Amino acid sequence: MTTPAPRPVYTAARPVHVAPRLLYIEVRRNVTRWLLPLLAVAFWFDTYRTSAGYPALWGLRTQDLILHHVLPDLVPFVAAGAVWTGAREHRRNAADLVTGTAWPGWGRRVVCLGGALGWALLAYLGCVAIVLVTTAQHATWGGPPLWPVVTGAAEVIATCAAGFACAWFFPGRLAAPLIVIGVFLAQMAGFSLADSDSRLGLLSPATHVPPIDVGVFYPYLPDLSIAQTMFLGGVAAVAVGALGLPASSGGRRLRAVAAAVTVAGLGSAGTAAGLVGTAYQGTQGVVIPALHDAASDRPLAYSPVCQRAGGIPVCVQPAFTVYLPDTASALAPLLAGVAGLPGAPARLTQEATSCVTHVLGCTFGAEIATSGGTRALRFTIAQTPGFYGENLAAFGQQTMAAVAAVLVGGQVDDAGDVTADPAQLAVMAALLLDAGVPVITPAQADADDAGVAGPAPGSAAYAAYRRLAALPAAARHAWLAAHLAALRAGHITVRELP
Amino acid sequence: MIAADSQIGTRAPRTRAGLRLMWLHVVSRRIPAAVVALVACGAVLHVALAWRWEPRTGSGALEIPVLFEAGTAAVIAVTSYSPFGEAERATARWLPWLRLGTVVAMTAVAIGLLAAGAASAADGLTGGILGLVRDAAGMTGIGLLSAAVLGGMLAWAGPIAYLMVTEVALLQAWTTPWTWAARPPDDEGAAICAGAAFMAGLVVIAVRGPRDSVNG
Amino acid sequence: MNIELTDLTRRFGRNQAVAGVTLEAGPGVFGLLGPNGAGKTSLLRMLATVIPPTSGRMLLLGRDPRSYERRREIRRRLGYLPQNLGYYPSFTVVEFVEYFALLKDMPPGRVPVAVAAAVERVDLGGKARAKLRTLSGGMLRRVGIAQAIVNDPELLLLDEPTAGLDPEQRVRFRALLRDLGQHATVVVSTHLVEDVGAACTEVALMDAGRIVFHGTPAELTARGAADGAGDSPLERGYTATLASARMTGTRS
Repeated sequence: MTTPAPRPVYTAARPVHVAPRLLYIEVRRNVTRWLLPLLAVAFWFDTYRTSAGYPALWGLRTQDLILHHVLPDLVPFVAAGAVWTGAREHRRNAADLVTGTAWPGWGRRVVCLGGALGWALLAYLGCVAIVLVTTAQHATWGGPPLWPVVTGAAEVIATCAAGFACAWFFPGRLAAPLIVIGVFLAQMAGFSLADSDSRLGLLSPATHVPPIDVGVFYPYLPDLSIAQTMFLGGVAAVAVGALGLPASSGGRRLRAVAAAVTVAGLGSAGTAAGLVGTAYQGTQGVVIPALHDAASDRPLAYSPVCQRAGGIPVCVQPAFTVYLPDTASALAPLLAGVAGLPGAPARLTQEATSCVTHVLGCTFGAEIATSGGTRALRFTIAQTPGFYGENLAAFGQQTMAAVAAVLVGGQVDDAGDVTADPAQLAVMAALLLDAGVPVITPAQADADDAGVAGPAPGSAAYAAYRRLAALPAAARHAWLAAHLAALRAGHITVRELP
Repeated sequence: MIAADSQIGTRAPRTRAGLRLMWLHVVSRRIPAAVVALVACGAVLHVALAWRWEPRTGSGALEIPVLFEAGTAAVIAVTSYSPFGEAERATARWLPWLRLGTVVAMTAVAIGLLAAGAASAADGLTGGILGLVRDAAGMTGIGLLSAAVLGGMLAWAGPIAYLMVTEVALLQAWTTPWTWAARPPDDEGAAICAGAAFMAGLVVIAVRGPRDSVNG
Repeated sequence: MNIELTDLTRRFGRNQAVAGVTLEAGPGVFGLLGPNGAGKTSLLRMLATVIPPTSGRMLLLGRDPRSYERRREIRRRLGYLPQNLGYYPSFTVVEFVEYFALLKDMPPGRVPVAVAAAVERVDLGGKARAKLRTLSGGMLRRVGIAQAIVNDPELLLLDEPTAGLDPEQRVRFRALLRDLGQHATVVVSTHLVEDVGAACTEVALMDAGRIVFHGTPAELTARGAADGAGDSPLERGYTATLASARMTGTRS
C-alpha cells in the first residue's frame, strides 16, 4: 500500500469571494430568462404601442408608461419566475443535499433569489430604457424624473422577494398558481382602495394618475414616490429577512441579523403607510408634509415658445412646442376677432394644470385665469390634442370659450362653466359663433352635447345674441371697441346691445 | 342461489375497491387541498365583488371574474401532476377514466363555487353564469393542454398566460372568439372556441396524461 | 476517531428510527448494512448534520455539531450523497459539482481544479458540459458522488452509492472507496453485501434502529458458517446475525 498523499490544507473561503460565483451560476440557470420573450411580446402590445399616442413629455411618460404599463405587464412574469425558483429545493428533492453544506441557509436562499431578481431587474431596466430612448427622440424640453424609475425597481424587487419567500415557505403544487393570482389580486386591491379614496391605495405605484404636465412647470414632486419606495422596500426586506428566520438558516448571530432586517422592513412599510395617511392633493401633485421639500413648490424657469394667432402671441412651455402650431390655429378664429379691442389679451400663455381635491389626480379640462391686472390670459393644456380621446376641436372650443368669457367680464370655474350677466353672455355667444364654435342651448349643454352654452332661446339675451351675430364683423368690432369696458363692468344691459 | 349469492358477494367488494381506488387517486393528486383552494377562490371572489374591486361597466368589469376563472383553472391544471410517473402509466385500464372523472368533477366544483361566491354578492357577476361556465371551462382546457406540454407542476402557466392575453384583449377590444373570456356571454363563436379548448384538454389529459418529468 | 456516537437516538413522531447507537470510527471504509427500515438512512442523515439527534452524544471530526459554528466546520470537511439525490436539471455536470464545492466554502481559486478532478474521478470527463437532464440514472449517481468528494472530505457519507451503476462502474467505485478510505472516514450504507466485502474494513449491521453487529467483514462471514442462508459467505453471515439478533433481541 502506498503512503497516502498529504491532505491539502486550506482555510474556508470568505463569502464575499464565493457569493459572486454562486450568483453567476444561479443567474445563468434561472428559469426567469425563459420568460423574457413573452415579456417582450407583452411590452410590444401594451407599452410600446400605447406610447405612440403619448405626448413626448418626460414626466408623463416616465410616470405613466412605466408605472401603469410596464409594471403591470412585468410583475406577473417576475412573480412566476420567483415562485418557481423559490420552490426549487422542495420540488427537486434537494433539501437534504444543500442542508449538508457549509453555507448558511439564509445566504444560499438569498443567492438563489438573486438569480431570479437579476433577470427581473434586467427586463425592467430594458423596458425603461426603451421608454426613455423613445421619449428622448421627440422631447423638446427637460429630462426624466428618476423617482418613478426607482419606485418601479422597488416594486420589481418586492414582488420577486415576496414571491420567492412565499414559495419557499409554502412549496407544493398549489403554491405557484395561488401566489401568482395573489399578485394580480394585490394590484386590483390597490386600484380599489384608490378608487374608494382610501389613502392606502396610494401605496401602489399603479394607482396615482399624473396630470399631463407633471414635472414641466414645477419640479416633479417625489413625496409619493418616496413613500411608495419605502413601502415596497419594506415588503422586500420583510420577505428577505423572513428567509433567514428558520433554524436551518444559520447561527444565532445571522438569524438575529435576519430578524433585524425583518423588523426594519416592517418599520419601513408601516412608516410609509402612516405617511400616506397624511397625504393631500396639492396643486402640483400629492404632498406628504413630512417628506415635502419646499424647493419643489418653486416653478421651474423656462423661456416660452410663441406663435402669433390672429395677431396675438400664443405662448407655450417649450416641452409643448410640438403642440404650438395646433394650439395657435385652434385659438386663431377668436383671437382674430378680438385683436385690438380694449382689454383684449395682449398675449396668451400656457400655465400649469391645477389639481383639485380628488386624491387620485387632477381634473382634465381647459382652464383660464387672469394674471392679476395684466392683459395676459393664461390657459392650460390639460389634455393635448389627440390624446386621451380629446380632439383638437374640443380643446379649441373649451379654450376659446374661456378666453371669450374673460374678455366680456364673465367668471369661469374649474369645470369650465361660465357665469356672466345676460348681456355679457350674449356678446360671448356672438363672438364664439363668429369664430366657428357651436353655440348650443342650456338644455343641450345639460345633455352633454358638443358646443358652448349660450343664452336660452326665447330670452332677450338670445335675441340680442342673434342680432349681434348678424352684424358685420367690422361693425361688431367697432361697437365692442367703444363699449367693452362698460360691458365688463356690468353696466351694459341686453336692450343696449346692437 | 349459489351463483346469485356469489354475484352479490363479488359486487360489493368490487364497488368498495372502486371507491377506494378513486379515493387514493384523488389523494395522490392533492385534490382535497385543491378543493380548499377553490373554496378560497369563491370566497375571495365574493369579497372582491362585495367591496367593488372592479368597475361595474366597461372592459374593467370583467377583470375580476376572469382573474378567478384563471385561478381555478390553474389549480385544476396542477392537480393533473402524477407523483408516480411511469409506474402508474404501466397499469391497466382505469387511469384514463380516473383522470377524466377527476378533471370533470373539479371543473364542476370550481364553477359551482365561483357561482356561489358571485351569487351572494349584491350585483352578481358581470357576464353572468353562462359567461362563467364558458370561461372557466375554456381556461381549464388550456391548463390541461399546458400540462400535456409542460408537465403537471408547470401547467398553471397556461391559464396565467391566457389571463394576460385576456387583459390585453379587454383593453384593446379584440373581437377574436379565441379570447372568449373577453367576449360577451352570448358570443357563440367564443363559446365554441372555449368548448373546443375544454374538450381538447379533456381528451389529451385522459388519454396521454400530463407530461412526465423527473422530480416534477 | 472521526466519528464518536454515544447512545444516539432519533425519533420521528412515534417511530423510533434510531434506538441508541454507540459507535466509533476512524479512517477507513465503514460499511453499514441492514434491512429496509433498520435506521441506516436516519443515522446517515444525523451524521451529515441534516437532522439533529433526539438524544445522545455525537462528535464528528472531534467537534460537537450542536454548535452552529462547529457544525459549519464539520460541513466544510464533509461529503454527503443522500439516498434520493435531488438535482437541478438545467445545470451542467461541472456547474452542479462547482455549486456544491462553493457551498462547502472551498476557496474559489481551488474550485475549478477540484471540480475537474472530481468529475474525472467518477469517469464523467466526457460529459462535463452535459446538462443533468440528459444523463442516465447511473450517471446522475456518479455526479452525486462527484459533488460529495469534490472538497476532499475527511468524512464521507454515502447512502446507496452504487444504485444504478453497472458492474464495471461498481468495481471502479469500490477502488475509489478504498483510495478515499486511506485518509478519510467513509461510511457506506448499502444493501449490497458484495460492496461491503470488497471495499470495507469495518462493517456494522443495523436492525430496528440498533446495531446488532460491529466488526470486520471476515467476522461477519464467520457468523454464517453454520446456519446462515444466502448465496455468498458474507450474505450467510448477514442473515445468520440478523436472525440471531431478532431471536434474542440483543445487541452484539
